[in-house]
Amino acid sequence: MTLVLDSLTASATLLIVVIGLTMVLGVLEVINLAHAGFMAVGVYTTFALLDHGVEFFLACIIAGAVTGLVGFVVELLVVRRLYQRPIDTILATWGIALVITQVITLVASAQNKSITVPFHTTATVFGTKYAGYQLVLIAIALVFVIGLGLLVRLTEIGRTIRLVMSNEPMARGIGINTTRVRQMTFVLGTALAGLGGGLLGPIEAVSPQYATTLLIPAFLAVLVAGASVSGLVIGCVLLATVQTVFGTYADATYSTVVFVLCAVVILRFAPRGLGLQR
Amino acid sequence: MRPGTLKLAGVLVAMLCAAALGGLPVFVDAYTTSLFTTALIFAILAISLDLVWGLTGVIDLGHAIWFGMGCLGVGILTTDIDPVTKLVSAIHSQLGNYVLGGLLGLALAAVVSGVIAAWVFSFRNGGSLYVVVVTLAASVVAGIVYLKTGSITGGDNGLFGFAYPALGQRGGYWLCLVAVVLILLTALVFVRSDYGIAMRAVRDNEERAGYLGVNAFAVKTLVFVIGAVVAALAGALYGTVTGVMSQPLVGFSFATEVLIWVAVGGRGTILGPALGAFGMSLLTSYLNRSFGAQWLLIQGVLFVLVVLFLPRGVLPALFEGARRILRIPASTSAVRSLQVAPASPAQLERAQRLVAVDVRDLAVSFGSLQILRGVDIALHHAELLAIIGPNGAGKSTLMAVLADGRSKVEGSVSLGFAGGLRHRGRAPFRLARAGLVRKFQIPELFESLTGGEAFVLATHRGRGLSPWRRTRTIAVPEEVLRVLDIAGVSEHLNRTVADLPHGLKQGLEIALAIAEKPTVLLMDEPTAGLTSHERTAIGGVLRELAQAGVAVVLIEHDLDFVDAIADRVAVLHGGEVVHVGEPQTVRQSETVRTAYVGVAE
Repeated sequence: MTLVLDSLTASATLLIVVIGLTMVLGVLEVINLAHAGFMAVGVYTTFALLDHGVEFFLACIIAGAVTGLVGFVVELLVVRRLYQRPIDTILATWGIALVITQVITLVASAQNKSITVPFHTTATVFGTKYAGYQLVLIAIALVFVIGLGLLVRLTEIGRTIRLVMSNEPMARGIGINTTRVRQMTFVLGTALAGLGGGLLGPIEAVSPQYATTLLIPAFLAVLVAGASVSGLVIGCVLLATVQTVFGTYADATYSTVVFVLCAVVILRFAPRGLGLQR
Repeated sequence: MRPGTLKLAGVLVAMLCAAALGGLPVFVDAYTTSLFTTALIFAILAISLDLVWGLTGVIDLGHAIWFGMGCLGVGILTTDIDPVTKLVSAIHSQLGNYVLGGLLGLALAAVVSGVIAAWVFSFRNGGSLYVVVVTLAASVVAGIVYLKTGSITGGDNGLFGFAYPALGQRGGYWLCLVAVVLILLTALVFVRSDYGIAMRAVRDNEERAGYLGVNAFAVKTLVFVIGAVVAALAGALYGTVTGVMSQPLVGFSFATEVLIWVAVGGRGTILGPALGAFGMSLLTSYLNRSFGAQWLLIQGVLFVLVVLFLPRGVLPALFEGARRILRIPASTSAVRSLQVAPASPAQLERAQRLVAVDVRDLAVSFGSLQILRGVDIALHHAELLAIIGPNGAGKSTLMAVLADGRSKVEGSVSLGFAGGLRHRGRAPFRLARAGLVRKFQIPELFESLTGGEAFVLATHRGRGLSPWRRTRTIAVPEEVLRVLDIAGVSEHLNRTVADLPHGLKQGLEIALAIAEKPTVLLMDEPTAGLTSHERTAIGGVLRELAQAGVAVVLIEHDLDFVDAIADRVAVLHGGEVVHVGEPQTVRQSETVRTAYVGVAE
């Protein structure tokens, strides 16, 4: 049972990291290597707010908004100019990541910080004791996924986004301001990165290089997921479970190796990802 | 300024730089010498990545692995590790250990990169993205494996203190300088050779290169391995001179730093990345001492600015600026002097009236959509067959399927030439090499190649391209010259193809196809976009080719033109061949009229 919960926690963590990344990749076709940087902005904002006595979850949400604002500026100055040059977006967002890391180092110093876990209590699930905050994360990941699914499927915004994804010139032709849709998506993606950054703060080491170790697995998970909500869930749960199970029964350090090898093999045979539609 | 003067000036500047660098360690302190040594080694590393990424278009996010392997090879053979503390306990500094260690690293890099390349590039449509995934994964794996094999790699502590003592500070510097000069010159010759043209063709348009006979898999694999080996060489030098090896040297961060040097310097120029790596690593090590974090911040901003505003890199932008200021005519840099001389059409002698391609009961469908069904048709040597039919009849699909044996089809296609080569499963480049040549409906040429460079590939059918020599005078069949004259492309062969207007591109495509000395020539609407005068003239050339033995197949819409040049006409409608016969029989045929008009009157 602990193993199942561990797998679920790992899946939830991955999902929280990946959800903004997928959005940006799916709609903008931009591989955003600055994603970890945006998460770092989120976690440092959260940290600063906690210092001022703001309640944890409120701090995370404000951090998300602040990060979204940063994303807005980055989109306006950089990403917007590179939509037709996919390789260059990889390079440019890597450059942005460097800038963010250094700004944080200058502002907040390179020292590691830690955020106290908001729920110190343990809960009992099916007779197994488990850390409360991890369970909260699982719930949050669920909310994220269901929310995204509903957004994409049921709302006007979702329909517009899907149209822009499937046929951009056509969308422009019927009067949709595609530049604006892309801008909003990027801002939303970065805001989610900031929010996720804050939420994962209590269980990760907080430093200017925050989440960079998560970036490569997240990037692979996004590709495995493909541009769909179902793929996102399948991909993240599959990869995270494999990693956790391997880490528990075999060797923890090699579990990352197994994770990336899984991604490599899956992408060889399903180059468009595991999504059920498209 | 004249090109000759310019070249002389360039050589002079290069020699002055080399002399200045050569004399440097005599005048500066040991610390500065060591910084310059490292910068030189990184220049080699950048050159190796430029071959792979800049010239061939393969993004290698794990390029640091190869560098690390070279360095590690030297480190392993020259150090002993204490099993308890995992620290270096003894150094074996005989020359033999360094040489053997270096070779070990090179061999390891060659084998591993070869396996990765074969795995990635054998993947059909193995997109540029998949190689990013695999190299990224490889750098993660390399980092972890390095830490877990501490008994030979030193794990977290790495290996240290194994610099080759007999070299000394200055000796190490000079060794690296000589290595940089040699590798730089070799790389420049390599990328300017005929093989270099194939590399750029693969980068620009891999699929199209295949139809000119270029084996993109082989080109990409070979260059990937060469890049890895050169990077390992740089690593071995680094190990020998600095005597340090640690885990970050195989990691993703270092790999992206190399990527940045190449991008900022100017990818695809060899010299640009070398200068970029040299300059930026020197700056980094100087400025890091006094303004560590600020400098990294400036570096990040600069990098983003370069990507945004100088997408081709700094060096090409500088050249462009210099050209404008010095008023050098733009053509001087682009000129690759090229003369096209007629060759004897001896290869074109073929037995008359033999079946070149026999198509039996061919069917093609995409999902539930049936494009072609039950197509039986024989293409004869020395015959011009025109395929006509309304839009959506399947004409272009038929061409595509004939030129690519990997297409999913039912029925059979057998070849009556090239020793009865099996058609099924053969990639376009194999069929092109056998003499089955396709001209695309819409001109799809290579962005950065000149017309002349494309002819180098076409006349070789992409095979046996020299890795050091550059063909300046290309021998082509006389018909090619005629087509070039008719379309008016002759005087534009030294221009980049991307700059040519549509009509000239079309002429160039036809000429390229003929330059491959085809046995079977598949032409999809060759004369679309040409004037009626040009069209008649090209029709004449195609007739002559047919008379010389080539099986010419063309898709055409203009029936008068077809009447004038075709020996036989096949009418395709709704995916079926509804009529085959001499041109005059077509207009009388009831079925054909039904196909076009809808109802027979």
